[in-house]
Amino acid sequence: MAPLSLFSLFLCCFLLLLSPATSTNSEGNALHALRRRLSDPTNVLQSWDPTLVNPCTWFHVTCDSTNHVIRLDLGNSNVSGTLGPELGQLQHLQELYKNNIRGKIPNELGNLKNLVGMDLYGNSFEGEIPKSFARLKSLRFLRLNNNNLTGSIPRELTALSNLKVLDVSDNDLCGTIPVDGPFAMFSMPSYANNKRLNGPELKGLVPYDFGC
Amino acid sequence: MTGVTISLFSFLLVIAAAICFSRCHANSSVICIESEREALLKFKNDLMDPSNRLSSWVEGGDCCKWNGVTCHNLTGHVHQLHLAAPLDDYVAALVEPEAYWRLRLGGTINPSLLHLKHLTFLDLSYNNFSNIQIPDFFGSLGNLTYLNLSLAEFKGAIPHTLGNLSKLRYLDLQCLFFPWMLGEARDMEAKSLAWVSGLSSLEYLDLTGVDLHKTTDWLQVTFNLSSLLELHLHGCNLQGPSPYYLGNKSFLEVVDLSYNLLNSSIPNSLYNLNHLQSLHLSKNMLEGRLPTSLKDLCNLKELDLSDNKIEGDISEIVHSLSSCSLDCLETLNMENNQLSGHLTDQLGQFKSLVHLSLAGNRISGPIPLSIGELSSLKVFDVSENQLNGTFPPSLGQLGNLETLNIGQNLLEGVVSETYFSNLTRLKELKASRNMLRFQPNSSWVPPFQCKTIELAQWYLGPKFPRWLKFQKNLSDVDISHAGISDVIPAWFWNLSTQFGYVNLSSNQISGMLPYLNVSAVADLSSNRLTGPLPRVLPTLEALVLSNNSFSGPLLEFVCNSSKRTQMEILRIDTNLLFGEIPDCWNQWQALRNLNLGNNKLTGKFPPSLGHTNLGMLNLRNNSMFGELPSALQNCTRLVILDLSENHFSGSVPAWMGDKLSRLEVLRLRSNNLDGHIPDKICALPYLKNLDLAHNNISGAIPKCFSNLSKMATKDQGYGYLEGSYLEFGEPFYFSASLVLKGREDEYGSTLGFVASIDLSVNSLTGEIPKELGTLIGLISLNLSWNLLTGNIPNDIGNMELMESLDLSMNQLYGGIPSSFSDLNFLNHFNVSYNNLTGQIPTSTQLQSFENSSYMANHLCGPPVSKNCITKGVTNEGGKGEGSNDRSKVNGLYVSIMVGFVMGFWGVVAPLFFIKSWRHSYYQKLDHVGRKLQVFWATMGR
Repeated sequence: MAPLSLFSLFLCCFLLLLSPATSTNSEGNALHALRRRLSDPTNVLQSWDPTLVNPCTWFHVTCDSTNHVIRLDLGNSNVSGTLGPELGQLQHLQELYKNNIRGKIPNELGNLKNLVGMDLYGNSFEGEIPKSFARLKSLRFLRLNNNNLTGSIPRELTALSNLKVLDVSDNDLCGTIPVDGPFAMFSMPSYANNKRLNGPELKGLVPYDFGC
Repeated sequence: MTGVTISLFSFLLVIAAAICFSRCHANSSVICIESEREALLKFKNDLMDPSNRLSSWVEGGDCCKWNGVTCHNLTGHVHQLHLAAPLDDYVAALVEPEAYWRLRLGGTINPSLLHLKHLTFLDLSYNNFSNIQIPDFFGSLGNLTYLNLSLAEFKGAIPHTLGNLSKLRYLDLQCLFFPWMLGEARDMEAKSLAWVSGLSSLEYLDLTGVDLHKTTDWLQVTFNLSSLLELHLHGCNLQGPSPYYLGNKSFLEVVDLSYNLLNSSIPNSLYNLNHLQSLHLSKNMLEGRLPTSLKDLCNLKELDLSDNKIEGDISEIVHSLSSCSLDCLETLNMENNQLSGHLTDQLGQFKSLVHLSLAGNRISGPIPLSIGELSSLKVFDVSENQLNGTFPPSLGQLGNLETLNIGQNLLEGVVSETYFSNLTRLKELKASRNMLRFQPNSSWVPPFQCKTIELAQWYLGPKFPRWLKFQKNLSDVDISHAGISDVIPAWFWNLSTQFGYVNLSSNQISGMLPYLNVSAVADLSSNRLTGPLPRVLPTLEALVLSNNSFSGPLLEFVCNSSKRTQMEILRIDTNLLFGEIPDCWNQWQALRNLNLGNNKLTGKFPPSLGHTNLGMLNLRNNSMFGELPSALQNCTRLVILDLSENHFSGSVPAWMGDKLSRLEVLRLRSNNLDGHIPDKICALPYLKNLDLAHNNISGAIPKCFSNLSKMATKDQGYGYLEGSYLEFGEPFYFSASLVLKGREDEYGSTLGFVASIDLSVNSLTGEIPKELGTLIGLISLNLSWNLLTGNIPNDIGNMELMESLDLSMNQLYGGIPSSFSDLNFLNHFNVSYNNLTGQIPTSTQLQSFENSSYMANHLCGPPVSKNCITKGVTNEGGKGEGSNDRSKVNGLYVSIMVGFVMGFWGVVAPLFFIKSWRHSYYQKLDHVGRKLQVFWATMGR
């Protein structure tokens, strides 16, 4: 689905030097670390057997032809818990929506340079939207709505030139709404129900960041 | 009246004994008392004694000299009865059980024993009183100090009259218990232990295996018995939260409550037992943290809390223990719990520690260097944790260490041979599944002689580890996934006359293998071994040679084994074997798991293969031909049948549905099959994976597929379909390669979770039956490349577990059902090259696929670039089929409208409607205005 990244090639080669046997399972280890963080009352993660050579036969995990994880689809699956930094090792995280995942969104998710969709909506995330998301240059969908996120919308996100869909509604964000880059085309429903979020920031003669 | 007679009689006896004593003392022999002899003879009379153990018990003899009888050397009274069945040679008992069973006394127990008024010691253990209860009258043997009825197979309730034995110091009523009997009914039971409180002299109590699940007083009674020193309630079905013990009278030194159903947290009060030396609570369901009062157990030598659900930080537990039991603790076993935290340096202070097992927890961090200070340590097991850091060099200082198990952790780095320099007594080195590197100097001679060496997934290569040459006692070795790229040295096979377990898999080991001296399990898969298949020992249970370059025909290997009855698993897939599959499988009756796939085998299916007990048969990717073999009808135990990628012809036989009723995986992919799919297939009650793709099958998809009940349930049970649990290595699961999510993978331990149907690339016609929608357990459905017509049934959207759905390359029309929005787990989706129309339903999943998943249809809306807007109204597509002929509207007007709507509703309207924004906007505008005013004013100066 996504093209093989330089990062994954690098990772692969590095591990080959270290030990040819364990080259593919670092991603499996990362996912298994995620599993340990999550409570899974409906057993959607029961196929995640950490002893397998790679995680490609696990449910809700999709690999490319070189056995690198390119998708993780856990939307609406009743899992709860927190996300950890391990996920930063995955290439293409997606769809963790409508669950009960708590805690902060890990900054490390900004390392997923090939990420096309980040759907974390309908959870209980708190804290700020990581500025590191600005590094997700391939990102097209960013849906963080219906969480408890606070702080302002990072200005750095205006650099996400491929962003097509943004939804940060139903959070507790504050400050002003960026208008640069892809933010020029997002409409107000994307930001609805953030009581402390002020209108689009003023541009022009004197740039003015209203702050929080 | 009789009582008076008896007492008068015994008075006379005493006098007689006294006379005897004065007379007989010189030659230190006593003569037994008449009445006691009579009593013993009556007792014997009711016993069954098949091996005549009591042959010395005869009329008129001196009963003090009878086998098993001991008299008081002054009074001549029978004091002790040692009648345990001899269990000295337990191995012999196993080898010749009949001879052993004959040694056991049986029958009933005559109350004449009550005449032995001076009896203090009664041992009837290991006998066979399987038809009776423990007699009530035992409670009247008031002088007893020792009563051992263990494993004597008494049945029913324990008589509470036993509570009258106030002089009793030792009571053993143990009955048979095996771990699998946990929670099940037993031979003996007690509803209450209130009677035990009468045993005011009791020091030792063993009720192992007695069902005590109805008792609620066991803790109060036993812990309030101030004389009691040892309590064994192992495997007693003790239930529920153990009640709090608040007393302080106990002097208990040994408490064994292991193998019960206790599911509380460990009560703080347990640690009031400050004389405790040994505490066994393993195999319960204890949860929560350990109480801090652990620190008060100052005499603790053994603490076994393994196999529970105990949480908490291991460093806190070690800290608690260190405050008092630092010098005495010898065994600490907390394996298989939920402990977390790090191992701290404090661990090194337990100088007496002999056995430390913390395996199977969630302990992280490095192994502390202080481990090297545990000079008494013989067993160190921290396997299956999340320990990281390096292999601690200090482990090498443990000169007494016999077992080292650090397997399945996250240790990394380089291991030096000097780390092992003092491990002279090491017998077991288990360290598999870490990220360690070990490349000792080629002249290194290990100081140890190990029986077991498991270093799987270490980097040991590229040369074959030469140091193994000095391991003369080696029996079990696992150096799989070790980066070895070398010819297998001849000396390796000479290290042992007979290995038990050899795993060299997933290396790049080359060479020939004429003979394999392995007695149980040999896994040499994924290497570069060549030549013909090796000769093997007849005891070999599993032979895995997959993914090598073994060549030649199978004839010699299969047919020249005169008596190869024990092999259960034979996997020689992915080699260069050629020729026909020989027809002499009659000898292979133990075989359950046969994989000959990915070779160059040809010919027809050998009929004798049908007369085996195979559960899994994989012949995929060979050049077999002929009709699907009717000999398979006899393989009624087949669970997995994979004949895919051959040249089999004819139609899918209906008998498969009748005869192979255990089938769960059926793969006939890529053959030359034609005809229709027989309705009989729907009769397979366990079928979960059906792959008929890439054939010439025609006709309709049977509506009766909805009868495949295993696909119609979301609960798929265990992960594996069937496994062989051999003595060594990981379990061997049945496995099958499946094409899911657009790729082919081998599924083993998780195969049981998968349910899929692949009918792609055939000539199937007609509509997709809406009944398919009832198969809600499916995670993959592939109907692509057929001639299917009609609408996509709305019910497909009910298949909520679906991850992979491919309907491409058919002649389907209508819309994509809006129910597809509910397919949350979809990660592979293709409906391209049909005649579908309307809007693509909106969902997080459906829009996440590339345009190519939808191309060559008449679909609109994201992700395809074609918009669905007609006359300014969005089309709720996916329902009607006729709405595709939309009139073309001038794009300019549309874009003007869209621009206006977006601009107005995006910026102006919010300011108009949302009060806070409006306020803030104008406030800030005002603020900026004032700033500008000030700016102008200052500029103006």
